[in-house]
Amino acid sequence: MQTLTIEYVLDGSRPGYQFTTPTNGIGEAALKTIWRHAMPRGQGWGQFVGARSLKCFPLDGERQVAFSEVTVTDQTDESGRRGIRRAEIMLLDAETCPDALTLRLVMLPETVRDAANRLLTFWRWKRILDRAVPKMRRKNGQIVLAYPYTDPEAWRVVEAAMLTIATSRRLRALKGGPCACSLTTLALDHRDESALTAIPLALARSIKDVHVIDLSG
Amino acid sequence: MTDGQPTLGDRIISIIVGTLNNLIPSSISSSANALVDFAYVRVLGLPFIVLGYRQSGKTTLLEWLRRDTAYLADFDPEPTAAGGAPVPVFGSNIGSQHMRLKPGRDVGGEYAMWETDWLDLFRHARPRGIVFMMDHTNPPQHKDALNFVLQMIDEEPAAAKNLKMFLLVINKADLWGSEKTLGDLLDEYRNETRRLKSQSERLGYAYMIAGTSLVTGAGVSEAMTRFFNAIRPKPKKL
Repeated sequence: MQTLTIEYVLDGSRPGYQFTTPTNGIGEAALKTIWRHAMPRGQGWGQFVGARSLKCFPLDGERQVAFSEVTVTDQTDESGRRGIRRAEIMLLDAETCPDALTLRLVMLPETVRDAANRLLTFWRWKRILDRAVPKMRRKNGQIVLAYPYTDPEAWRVVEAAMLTIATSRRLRALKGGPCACSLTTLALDHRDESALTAIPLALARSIKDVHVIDLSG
Repeated sequence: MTDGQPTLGDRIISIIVGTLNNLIPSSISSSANALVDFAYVRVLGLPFIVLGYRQSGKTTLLEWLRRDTAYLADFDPEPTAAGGAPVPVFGSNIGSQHMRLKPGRDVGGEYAMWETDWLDLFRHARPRGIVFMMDHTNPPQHKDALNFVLQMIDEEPAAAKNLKMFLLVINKADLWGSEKTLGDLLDEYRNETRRLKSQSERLGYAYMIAGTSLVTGAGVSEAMTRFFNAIRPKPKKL
């Protein structure tokens, strides 16, 4: 299993985001996909220092999957800009992706998983499954969930809820439904994001083009 | 980079448009131009892209346009991450005209972004205009970035086909304006500006150089008014 890292490098003649681990053996197309999708979307990460986002996306005609663990660092660049992120990316075979997601879920404390299960009420599950069923007129089958962001620790409940949904048999059994391995547990913009994406509730209020499922209240 | 050969469809459209231009009276052709202009400016959005080395103000310029040219002192962008960020079509008051603008994506300016994000954006957007942002720092890096873009235009004829205007913006005039003139700064870029002039003549697009400050707003509105007027299908007299 190969691991890659994208970091913001300040020393050297070419500062900025770059792969800081060897990329040998990875095809150009796959590398471009990883580069383009490893980081969650949106502006304003400076207010989310310490936050973690798990991002999973298919590569190579969906035979391989990239699993990116992104952290918002406290790093600043030479002009004081914040919101710099670091991504650690693992490349997996697509068949092993649900197992990898399940492993991430069981690694979370039981109290967090219980809290996540309480968020996923019957009616919310119904709405999630309804969104996931492909319909003729619905071009964008993206499922966007929202929850109030307070701190990285509290957001782990949302991470657990997202992993529970992504690994659920109910969702995976849907023919033509969203790929289980397309999820982002924290993004600041739903556009150009995974089939299953979670964003802070404060940002979700301005979304007009997708019906957001509110996990709070 | 691709060979950029026009497709059969492109060639057929060129032949039809060329033939129609010869056959249709100028009054009808002018009405058709006005219709295309309306479609771009009011409905589809004018396709343009913003490029430039890191920290030159690309994200801030897009925010300035998105906020309808409002004051930006409170805007605190972070370095744009790998892959950039999608920017949907939005409306903005440019001079006295409300226009819909289509920048495609906001991309980062580091070297690692050029061959990936910049090239993908250029190919995908097929822009009518390019805004290239620079500032008074790091001339070697700005030169590399500008040369990369000029090379990209040469090597991607299909993507460059619609290009009408290249705007070179020397931003952060609030920091250099009291010590240097725009001419002083451009002295460092003599070879690059010569290359830009020669390419613009060869490929038939216009170019313009402007000194601006996105923090104070100095020069931005004038530059944007001229830029977007130049890239619309039927430019107005300013």
